[in-house]
Amino acid sequence: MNVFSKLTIKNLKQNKIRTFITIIGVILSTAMFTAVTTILSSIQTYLKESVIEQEGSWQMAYGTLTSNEVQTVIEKEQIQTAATVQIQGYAKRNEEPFQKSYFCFAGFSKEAYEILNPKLIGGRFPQQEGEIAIPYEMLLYDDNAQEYNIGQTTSFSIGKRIDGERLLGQLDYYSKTEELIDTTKQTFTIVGIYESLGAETFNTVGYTMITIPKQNSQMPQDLYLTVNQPKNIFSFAHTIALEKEPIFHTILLRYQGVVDNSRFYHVIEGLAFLIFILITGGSVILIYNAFSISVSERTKQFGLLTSIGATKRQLHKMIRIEATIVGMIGIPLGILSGIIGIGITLKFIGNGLVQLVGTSKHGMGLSISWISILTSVLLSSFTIFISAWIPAIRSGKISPMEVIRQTKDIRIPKKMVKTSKGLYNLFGFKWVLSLKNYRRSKKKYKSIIISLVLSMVLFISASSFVSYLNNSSSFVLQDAISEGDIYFNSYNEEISYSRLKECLNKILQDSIVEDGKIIQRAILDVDVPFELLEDSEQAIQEPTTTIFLYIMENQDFEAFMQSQNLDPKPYLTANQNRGVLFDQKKYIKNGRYQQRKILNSHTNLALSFTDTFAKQELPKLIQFQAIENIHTTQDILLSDVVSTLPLGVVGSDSLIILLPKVQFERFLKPYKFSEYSIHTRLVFQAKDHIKAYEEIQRYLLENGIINGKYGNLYNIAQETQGDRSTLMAVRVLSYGFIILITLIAIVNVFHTISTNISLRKREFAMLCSVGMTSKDLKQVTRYECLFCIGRSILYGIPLSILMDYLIYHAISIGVEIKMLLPILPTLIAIIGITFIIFFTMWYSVGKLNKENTIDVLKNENI
Amino acid sequence: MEILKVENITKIYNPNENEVKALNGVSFSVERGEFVAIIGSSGSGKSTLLHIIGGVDRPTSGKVYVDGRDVYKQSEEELAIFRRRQVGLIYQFFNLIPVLNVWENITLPVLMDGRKVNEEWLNELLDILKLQNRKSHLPNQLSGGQQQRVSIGRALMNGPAVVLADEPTGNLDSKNSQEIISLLKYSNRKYNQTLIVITHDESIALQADRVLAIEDGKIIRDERIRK
Repeated sequence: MNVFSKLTIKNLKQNKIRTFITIIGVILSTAMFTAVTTILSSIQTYLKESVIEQEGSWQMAYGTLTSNEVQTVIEKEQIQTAATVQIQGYAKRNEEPFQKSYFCFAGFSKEAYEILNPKLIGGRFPQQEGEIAIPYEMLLYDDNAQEYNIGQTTSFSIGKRIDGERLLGQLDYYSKTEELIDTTKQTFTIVGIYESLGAETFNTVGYTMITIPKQNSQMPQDLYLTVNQPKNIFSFAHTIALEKEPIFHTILLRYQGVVDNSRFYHVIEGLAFLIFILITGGSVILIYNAFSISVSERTKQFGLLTSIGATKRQLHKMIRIEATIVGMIGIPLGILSGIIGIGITLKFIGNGLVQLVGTSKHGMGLSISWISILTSVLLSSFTIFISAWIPAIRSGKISPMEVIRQTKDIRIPKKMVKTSKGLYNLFGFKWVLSLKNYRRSKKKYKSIIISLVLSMVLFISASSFVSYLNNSSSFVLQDAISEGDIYFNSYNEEISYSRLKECLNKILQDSIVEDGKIIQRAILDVDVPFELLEDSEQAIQEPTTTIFLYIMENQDFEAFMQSQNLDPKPYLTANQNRGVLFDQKKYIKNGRYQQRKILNSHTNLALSFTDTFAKQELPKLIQFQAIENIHTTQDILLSDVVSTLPLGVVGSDSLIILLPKVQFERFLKPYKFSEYSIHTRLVFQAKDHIKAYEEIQRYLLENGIINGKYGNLYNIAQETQGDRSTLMAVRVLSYGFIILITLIAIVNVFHTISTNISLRKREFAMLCSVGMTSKDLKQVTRYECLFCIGRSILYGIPLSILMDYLIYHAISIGVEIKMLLPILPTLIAIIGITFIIFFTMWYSVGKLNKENTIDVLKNENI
Repeated sequence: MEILKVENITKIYNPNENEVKALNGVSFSVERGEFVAIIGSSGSGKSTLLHIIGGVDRPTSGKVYVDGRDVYKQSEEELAIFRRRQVGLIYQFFNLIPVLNVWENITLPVLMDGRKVNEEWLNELLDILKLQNRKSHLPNQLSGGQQQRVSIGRALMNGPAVVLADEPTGNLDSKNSQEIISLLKYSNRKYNQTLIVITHDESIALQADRVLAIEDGKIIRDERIRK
């Protein structure tokens, strides 16, 4: 080891705390670089995987090739996997040219299932000739959907699509002059329903009916390929001597980094760039400070070395060695902690992030890419070397004698430390001394102030960002709105109540669903007298009040009433019509759900239909004097009030009335209640709601109830969880980011102040030698702290408010919110800054006091 | 033979504001093997002159030749190598590197040159300096006299043409002072090295071959005491 390495290592060892803090700084900034690059690569991998899951892994494809042509392509060594789809023929579906006017019968090879990844929703894939699986989308949009259910057998006239001489396939778009020829009748049994193929676009002319390929046939084939090196896919495509042009899976190739120019990527890149700038800024300041301090602390040593003949290059080499050592320890640790940190973060908030980026069934996992790690290593090394380089060059500019004498530190322009006599009289000597010190060390304090302002602004803006998100209702944490996990809302009268009830019972029998109910809901507009309303101002704006009428199965109603300690008998048996009232309006205020009542009285209420039936008027809510006034068959007596709701009934901002089915059948049904829209709802409870959802969807489908066509199946549990974890993701990311930036700032401030103090060792010793007590000394430094804090706040608060406004402005474009002044975060920031500064001063001055004054004076002489 | 020639050196601090003329047209030359003492009151410009000769501070005008070479015509790199090989500087406050031990401090100029240490010469030096038993001590484990001997060792290590000492005994008691001067004189005789010493101590000045007196940046007396 040469003398410079040795000297550097010895210096690092001697200044243990400074070395430690510098390494911590490198670890922090490398961790941040790594975190950002890793999260980006995780997002990219996630996007890639979700495209593969939804659209298959193929990268390029050829339509309608002959067997010979297929052979020439798949012989190429660049091909990783190849899959053929045998185009067995087309059958006319309708006469509308562009909207899937054909059924395409496609024989899927084993590889085709893998590469195109069709997902089964119901039934199974075909195993022998004469069996087909049909796309789900077809059921949604086909008027004859009922004809195409699993188990049904249908005949098709299948022929060839030709345009002049040219044979057309699935990858050829509709041509005005095309015709269907050579048709023969064939019969198929539907054995399965699959989620539509990603490879099949809106413009594809035919729905793909998956069947098995015919052996020894000369039928045209579509060829789907993946290649060994996606980057060279376009040049590879040129080498294939086929007349046909290939098509490319552009979205996948984009996420594989082959094609760019996506808008989404620009947004991600922009965001990443912004974060990078912030991190780089923070890290550069931190590491630069560390090195400039290390250099200025050693200027004397450098001067000495210069005077006995060290060249500039040799001195620079020393700083480079220091940077290398610090980097070799800090960078690997930083990368490790960055990856671990993001790994843990993604484990908890991966699902939430998925909702921010897109939707997919699988969550986002940690993906470490070597490129992203290499980027972090390069960025950190670059930062370290730049930070080490600048102070080294600066130190080289001073002549050795000047350095040894440290005259630069002594020479101070008079103006800088001039203070008026008034100040002296007003505040006393110590105050003036600290002001002079502050002014003299302005440059050193500047870096402290920049760090403080940076962390203050970042902390406050992140806090306001989160609180704006809390206040915009779209991000409000969904209360567990109901005990139900999965809802099926039927809005089509074709599906009868009894059919749904039958389905429910079968699902409860056969699936993992733990509990399930069927319930009907009618929405009524009702006249409610002003005097009955709690908030009469609102009533003036809205002349009618909405009431949700829920009709429950008798035994469900009975069980619910018993759980509420109410007697269900009068509802189920008495001649009077009775309902149970629920009056709790939920609304959002200050980011939280609030509750209040809609009605100011709950006694002697009834919902009267008398005039509705007689004069076609709206139903009325009435408060009666005596029970005799109630028209027993046309009014619903609201004899009980509950504060909880049964399974399947969702609280809202309206009044809710619960009825047993028997009431509905006896009283309201004969009066053609169906004019008022009635929806039937199935509600399920299941621990594994994702699996239960799939089972229910499959079950409904196999019973001809198509999700999306006759009703919607909702996974409420997942949505609630999703919202929660999305908010969580935003919080964790912004706070995590803030914590890191704040840590960097703290390290920065600590570094700067402690070194500033230790550089003034001799000055303090001198002050002590002329009789200043350590108490006085502490007071002087305390005043200096106050100047520093004052400056930081002076710049920090206006900047924070500006950032707050910018965030408000950005969010207010999408959501209606009020501008909030970040008072609490500002207070926290000020207290934090004060604490950091005072703590550091206390620590450094305390350390100084332990040293012997005369020793310091003697040792620092030349 | 002339080893050092100083030609009309002027050094002005703070040109423009509060101008201070530390040296004002100083010229003299020194023969190889001569022992020169420079005396003068505080602020007379002695140290500035020594630093300019040693290549650590640039003159405002004038020229310095060491061994026939114009010192300040050299590039920064050449100047550093000049300081390393041709000059040995000794300071009043020793200026040792606190994290390096005696052996390392002494051999620093050789190590910086990237050359191998001449062990024979080093041992001879350590014997002369009476530091043989303290090779692995750190500067703060040594007395003032010992520290100054280390810095002399460092100055002599490369066998420089000129040894420059800025009040080498200023921080030492009389016994140690005499020991240091004897050492310097011994190397001056033995290796025919040129020695220039700044001193306030008349008894030291009287041991020199020649005494230069400086006042207000000018040489006011140049007296040869012995041949």
